[in-house]
Amino acid sequence: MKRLPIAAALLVLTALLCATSRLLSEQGTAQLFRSLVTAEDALQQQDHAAAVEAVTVLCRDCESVCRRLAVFVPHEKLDAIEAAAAQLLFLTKQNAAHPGEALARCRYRVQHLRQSERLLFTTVF
Amino acid sequence: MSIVAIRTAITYAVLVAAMRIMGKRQLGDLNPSELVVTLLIADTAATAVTDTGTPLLGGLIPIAVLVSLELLLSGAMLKFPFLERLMGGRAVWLITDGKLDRKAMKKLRLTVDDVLGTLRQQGVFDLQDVLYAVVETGGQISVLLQPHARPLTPDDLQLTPPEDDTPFLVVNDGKPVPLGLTLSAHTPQWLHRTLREQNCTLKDVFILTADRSGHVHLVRKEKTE
Repeated sequence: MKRLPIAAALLVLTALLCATSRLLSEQGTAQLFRSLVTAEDALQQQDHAAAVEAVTVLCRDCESVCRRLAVFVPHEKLDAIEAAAAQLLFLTKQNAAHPGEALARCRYRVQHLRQSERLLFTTVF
Repeated sequence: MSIVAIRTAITYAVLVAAMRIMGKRQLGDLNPSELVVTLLIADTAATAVTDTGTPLLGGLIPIAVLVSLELLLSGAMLKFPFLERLMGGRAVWLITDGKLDRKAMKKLRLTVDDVLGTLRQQGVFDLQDVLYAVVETGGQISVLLQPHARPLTPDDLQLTPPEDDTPFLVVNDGKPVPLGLTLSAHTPQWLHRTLREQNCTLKDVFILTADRSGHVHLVRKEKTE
């Protein structure tokens, strides 16, 4: 019966890891959404310099959030977010017309990450 | 490549720990739930090692959960016998007094050849020699022979054999084995005295065994006794 406390400890540890993953993901995606909104506003105002700066901040945020989540989240999900942000930055720097599609892709990837942690049951089943 | 190597080393350590935590049952005959857990752990560990796109935790967490559930379930089975019956099933009596139970065979999907083959592996060639044969929950068949077919025991001849005096390992490769000394009812002083009598030191000894009556068997490292 000595093993039962080990089992309980393992389950608690697992629950803690899941909670940490959920917390980091929630914080990270909230930060990314804030950066996304700022970038979106800057892009809509047609101010190229401000847009480039906002999207650069978004890219940096993506990188730091992905680094924090790398232990918990499959790498391809994080790579997709970083790639979408990088493409948005590239298009913004090129001064392309409002890069709505790239922005939408970026938003979708972040949303996807948040949902996969949040919607426990729909994601499980 | 080095990532895979490091992941393999970590997973190996976790698996060894998991098997130690789950205990010796996992190494012997498995009941259905234990078999499922062992297979799942093996598969999960393989993915954790090779799929570098998934965080290592993604492979280790399922192992931790499986080990915990297995431990909790086996603990619960000790407390609630109905759970054991539910998870492991019951032993089934297959042969009674040399007669095969065809219903039980049908239930277990065993053919006559399967049963006879298993009996032969246990050294039983005549069905009539079997008093009882039971299919255990782990799938093995246990056989009790008819009295006339059982090997002779000292009891049958009303003999009282002398008690076994088992030799215990007292020195292994130049190092004393405290447990062996205790089990053979000797002390470290006795060991030193014995070695002196044998004209050697601890370093010269490859193996030294001793029993409770003081019989000693010494194998020196130089292969000369």
